[in-house]
Amino acid sequence: MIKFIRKAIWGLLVLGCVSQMSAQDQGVFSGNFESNFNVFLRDSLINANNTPQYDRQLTGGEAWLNLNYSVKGFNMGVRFDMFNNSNLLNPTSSYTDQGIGRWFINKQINKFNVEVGYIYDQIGSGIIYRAWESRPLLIDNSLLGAKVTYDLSEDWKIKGFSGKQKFLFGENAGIIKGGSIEGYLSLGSEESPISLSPGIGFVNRTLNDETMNLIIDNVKTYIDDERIKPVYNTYLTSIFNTLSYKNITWYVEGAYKSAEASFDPTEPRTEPSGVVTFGKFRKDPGSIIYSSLSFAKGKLGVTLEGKRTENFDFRSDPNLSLNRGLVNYIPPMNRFNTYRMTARYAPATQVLSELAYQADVRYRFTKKISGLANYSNITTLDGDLLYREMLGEVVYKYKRKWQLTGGLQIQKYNQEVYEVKPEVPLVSTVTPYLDFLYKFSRKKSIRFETQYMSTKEDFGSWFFALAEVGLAPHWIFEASMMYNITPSKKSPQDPETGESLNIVYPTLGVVYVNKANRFQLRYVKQVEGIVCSGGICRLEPAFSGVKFSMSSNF
Amino acid sequence: MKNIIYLLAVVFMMISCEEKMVIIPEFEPIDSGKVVYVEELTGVRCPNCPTGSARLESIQALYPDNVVIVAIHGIDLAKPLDESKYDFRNEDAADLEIFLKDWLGKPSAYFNRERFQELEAEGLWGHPASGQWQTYVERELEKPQVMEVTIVKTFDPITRVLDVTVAALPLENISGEFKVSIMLTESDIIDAQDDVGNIIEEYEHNHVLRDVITNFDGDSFASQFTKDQAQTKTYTYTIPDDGTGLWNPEHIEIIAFIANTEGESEEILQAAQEHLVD
Repeated sequence: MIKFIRKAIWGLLVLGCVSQMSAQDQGVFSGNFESNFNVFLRDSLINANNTPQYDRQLTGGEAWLNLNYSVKGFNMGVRFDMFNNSNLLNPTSSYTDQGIGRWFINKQINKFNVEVGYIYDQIGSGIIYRAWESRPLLIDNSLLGAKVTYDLSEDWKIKGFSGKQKFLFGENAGIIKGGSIEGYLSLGSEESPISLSPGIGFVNRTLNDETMNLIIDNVKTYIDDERIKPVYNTYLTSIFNTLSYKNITWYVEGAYKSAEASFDPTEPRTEPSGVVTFGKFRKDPGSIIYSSLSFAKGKLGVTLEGKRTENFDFRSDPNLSLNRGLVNYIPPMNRFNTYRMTARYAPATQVLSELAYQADVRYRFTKKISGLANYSNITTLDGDLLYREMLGEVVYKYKRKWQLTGGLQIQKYNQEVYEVKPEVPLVSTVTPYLDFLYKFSRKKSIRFETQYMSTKEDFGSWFFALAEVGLAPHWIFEASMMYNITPSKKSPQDPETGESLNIVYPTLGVVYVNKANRFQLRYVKQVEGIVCSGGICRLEPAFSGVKFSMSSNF
Repeated sequence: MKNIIYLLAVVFMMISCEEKMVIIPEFEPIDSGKVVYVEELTGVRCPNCPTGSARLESIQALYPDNVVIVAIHGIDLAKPLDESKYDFRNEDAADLEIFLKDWLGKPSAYFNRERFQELEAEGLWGHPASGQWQTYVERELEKPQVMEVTIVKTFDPITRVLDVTVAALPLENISGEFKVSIMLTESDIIDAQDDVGNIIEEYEHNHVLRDVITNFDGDSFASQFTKDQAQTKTYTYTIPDDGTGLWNPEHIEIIAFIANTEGESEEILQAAQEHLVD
């Protein structure tokens, strides 16, 4: 059946192309193409080695071609995915496959909207359900199934969906069903309007027998006192609302998950021999409360956020771990940093136990000077510190000629938890940074970045410098280097003397943009580090080689 | 608004539905003549490896005649701790750790080097979740036994020379590309180990891979087995005496297994274990 639908969509798309040629006004055809190609240059000094790509395959890459067609209330699309010796799925191994990564058909029928295929969607902020794609981490959690939306009124909408979660070119076990009612209410007077955007959502996941048998096989090995009785069905619900009043926007969401068998790697387990080990299925309900309050008036902008997470690991199959099979998405609670050094240590969202809050204040002092201050703090529910960041930044703009940004970041990062590294202390960093942009003309500019990360932990202290020349609208040239200025014992060592080395990690790159086409070629040596998408992160090994990427919209 | 209330009522009714509780069966060991070869990628700096090792010990306690274990201290997290007396790393362990890719992290375990479909879907060969390891052992035990493997050894404690013969007796006709591997492991070694961030200085290390007598990935053995016709191969090896306290003959085990390496397969058909000193 699925093969038939795929063929039908291809047929419609081809038909669409033909009909578009004969009658341009009958539909809209659009798409995009994205591709990465990596050349792996083995460098055992920085641990860019011992993967199939460095050892024997030498190259690897990925490509996605997305084609969409809209005609007479129909929207349809198909996406071809290709992975050739790709390191995206698992950075230390190689993955090769290709095929149809997505197809969908969507039709508006009066107040109904019907969609089938691979569907991306979310409820509220995604805490109980989010089907999404993140290519840098190869997450594609779309739902292969059907969704119906009905407009109850102009302001109220109800939707329901059911299907299986996609994984690569197959599906994870477990049926996921859910729905939500979302609306809009306008209260107050014209002078002081109050608006509410309330909603309520439900999700149910039903395990299949094979998954349940795996859990039972596991649980039956527990001693009697620690045995749980797993259930096939798990229910989640969330209530959320956005309140807007003048300059204030307040979002709040509370979510509850019914008790299910979920694997907790930190839970003590007593072996039959009496030895206590860690990691077992437990069966407890979970909850999250999340809130965000924003205020903006004149020169001042303030955002406050808080989140409490308890036992909220929700997957299409409880036997899956790490980034696999996640059905929901819990918003991260730290600043999204963009500079190389300030982004080096980023905290992944903890799904079992987390108490987090963040404050962000921005103020424009004059037309030329603005500043921001950010503070975030993340602990476990038991109070163990996971992450803390304090950041202050000032921007000075001189007419449209030049701009200077300066800032200071102070961090605490629990590397043992976030990177599952043994015996490592809390990483403490102090990172001042400068960013200077000078515009020679509307088209020509040059930008310099410099950052210094001072730390005694992990690889020790770093110096980073970057120069970037922009020749709008087509070219950007970049040269940067990350220098391990005070290496630690963990830094690469001289194989003969055993001394830690001051290694330079250079990057040279060029970007060419032509209308909706972007090409990038970079030579990169990169130290191991965390790569995050939203609050989902993973540790990426060191890289040495050439990266080519292109994207094109049409 | 009425519709919304009806809908909410339906949803709450769904939630309030009670499902029939599953029954967790009592454990009943599988009766099998198979001996499953389990190798664990581990390391003294690996915080979760004591859990993995304890899990394997529990599994072996349930199936004492059906499970042999080899702990591979290869490259990652295997460098001795500051508190360590010994360095368990060796060339064969490093080669095996690379040979056994792809694995996600340590501990990872392999069961007869079978490539399980659900792991392959994730691009993995080694199984990271120790909670499920018993299931994989039992899946292997449920397969029909096709061979018996016997270790015949003589060890001279003075010269420390070991003569070891591996005999494979097929229980049915089998063709393929068969390799034999013989490994030496050592148990009861007391040394430091990270355990979820705490260093246990007197941790008991068992089944530590000390050397592989054959090539690390095995030596050619046969391409055809005929039912009831045994084939053998003999090796001579001198047990080192490096004066460190390691290589204690009383604590050394000999592990042997036959693998079918035809095509992409590395599947181990049968394993055996003997103590160096009875």
